Amino acid sequence: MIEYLLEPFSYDFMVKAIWACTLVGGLCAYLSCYLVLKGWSLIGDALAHAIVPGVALAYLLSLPYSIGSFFAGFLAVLSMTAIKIFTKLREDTVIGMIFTSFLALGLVIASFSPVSVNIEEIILGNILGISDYDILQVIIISIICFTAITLKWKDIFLVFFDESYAESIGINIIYIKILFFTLLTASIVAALQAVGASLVIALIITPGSTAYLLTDKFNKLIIISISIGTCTSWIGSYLSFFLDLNPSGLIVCLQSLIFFITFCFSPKYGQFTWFYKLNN
Amino acid sequence: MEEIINIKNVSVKFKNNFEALTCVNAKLNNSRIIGLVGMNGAGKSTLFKTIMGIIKPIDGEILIMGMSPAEALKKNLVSYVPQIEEVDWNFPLLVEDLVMMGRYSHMSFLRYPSKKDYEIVDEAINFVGINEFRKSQIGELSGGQKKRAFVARSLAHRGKIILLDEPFTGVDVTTEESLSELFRLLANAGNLIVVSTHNLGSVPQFCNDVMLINKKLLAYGPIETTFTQENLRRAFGNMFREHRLSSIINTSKNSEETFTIITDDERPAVFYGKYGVNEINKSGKKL
Repeated sequence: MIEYLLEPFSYDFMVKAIWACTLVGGLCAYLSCYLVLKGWSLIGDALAHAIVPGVALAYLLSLPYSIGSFFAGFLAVLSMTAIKIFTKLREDTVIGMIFTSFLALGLVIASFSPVSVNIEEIILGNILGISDYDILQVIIISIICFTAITLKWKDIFLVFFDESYAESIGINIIYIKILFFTLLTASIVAALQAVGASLVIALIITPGSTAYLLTDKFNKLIIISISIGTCTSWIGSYLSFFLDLNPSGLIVCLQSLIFFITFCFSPKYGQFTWFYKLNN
Repeated sequence: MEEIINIKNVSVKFKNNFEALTCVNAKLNNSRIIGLVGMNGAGKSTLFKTIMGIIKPIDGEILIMGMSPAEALKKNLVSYVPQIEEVDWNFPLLVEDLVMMGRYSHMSFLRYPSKKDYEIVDEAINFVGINEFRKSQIGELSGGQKKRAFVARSLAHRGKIILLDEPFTGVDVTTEESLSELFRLLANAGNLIVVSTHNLGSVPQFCNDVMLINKKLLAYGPIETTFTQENLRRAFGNMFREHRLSSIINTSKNSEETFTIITDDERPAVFYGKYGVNEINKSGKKL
């Protein structure tokens, strides 16, 4: 029996997939806590598309894809922030507009290439075929990201909550925002290449929003979100071996299930809890 | 009386060449509540942001206890209470954590609170009287409690100067009165309180001085001499709604006749006496 349960660990690709998913799950969950505060949740989706011109250009110039995609991603985030500051357009409009523009630009650049580029294959990484290079990239970026956010989590929260007050106590808000969006872009790019777009897009939204329904204290929100992110990723990828299912699909389903349970039964904000309290 | 803020010939221009403030000169003393009165867009928020050092004047300077705004910020002299509309009340933030933010500038790089920080937060929460809501999420508070929570943050910040941006919007008259009492207590403790408002009726009730601005400083001085119909008309121009009830006043010599003003929750500014010579209804209460 134990032998059966340990079977996934006898395959090198499964071990890598499980741990890479867990790491990416935790990292994305950490970032999702902040994104859910500001209504920037769709940024994961946007970045997955916005890196296309970078990938295409890197392909043409024979540079590493990660460099190309990081710069394209960062440029996309910068343009979104700039448009948000200088216009009154809402977040969803800005995000949608920028990512479609970047995607279109990427397709144009890709058509310059004499050899056909299969951009989808480059962007939509495959969990079960993670390369050692991608794993290393994810590990390094996770360490940097976790350290940086953990050192500055209160400052980032204050800047998101009340910019004028943050500025009035001497926090450099531009510096904090650049720090956050650099970390965000680097994490999403690394995660995309390692585990694929479909997984990252969900991982960056669901854990934070679930935790949001469970607590009113931001430090608890972070802990709950990271726990959901890492546990579902680990369990999902592990179970996918036995059930012969797509791991990223299973992970996202698990997270959505937890969200649904929370939505119904959260002690404070659950719909059924509310109903129960009304009738008692 | 001690001079706290010295505004010397300050002019502010925005990037689009819009002149927001021109040659403002004023000296603000401690233990006073100063009402900053003007229309929307008259430069009230700009003046606040200049005092906080967020906006740099193109000409002139502001000295806060002899220091530049940047130095004064480092010493935690200035604290700011934002407008209710500027805050996202859905944030996962408890009242006590909001007040703790006031201590951030006294903490180290990691913002790790000490025992003293917790004590100061407790004290601030008790002072403004929201102890029973300390574990509530900020959005669950009523309008007046929200204001109190932010005032508590300023107290925890231990700023000598408290700038309040439109503290009475969305607050009923009873709450307004209790907030005014709170500001009075803070001023008596030696703080300088500057309140921006366009709610004229409340100004004579709790301010010591009034500053009327419309891009320029139109008038500045004690309420008794400066909060006059003439000055208000200069500050508000045609935007000012004015109902003169001269016929009623003329006939009210008969003691049985009464002078009545009915209004909604917004406080009216009531003047009586001959036009141009003003006595102020200090109570500001409904007559």
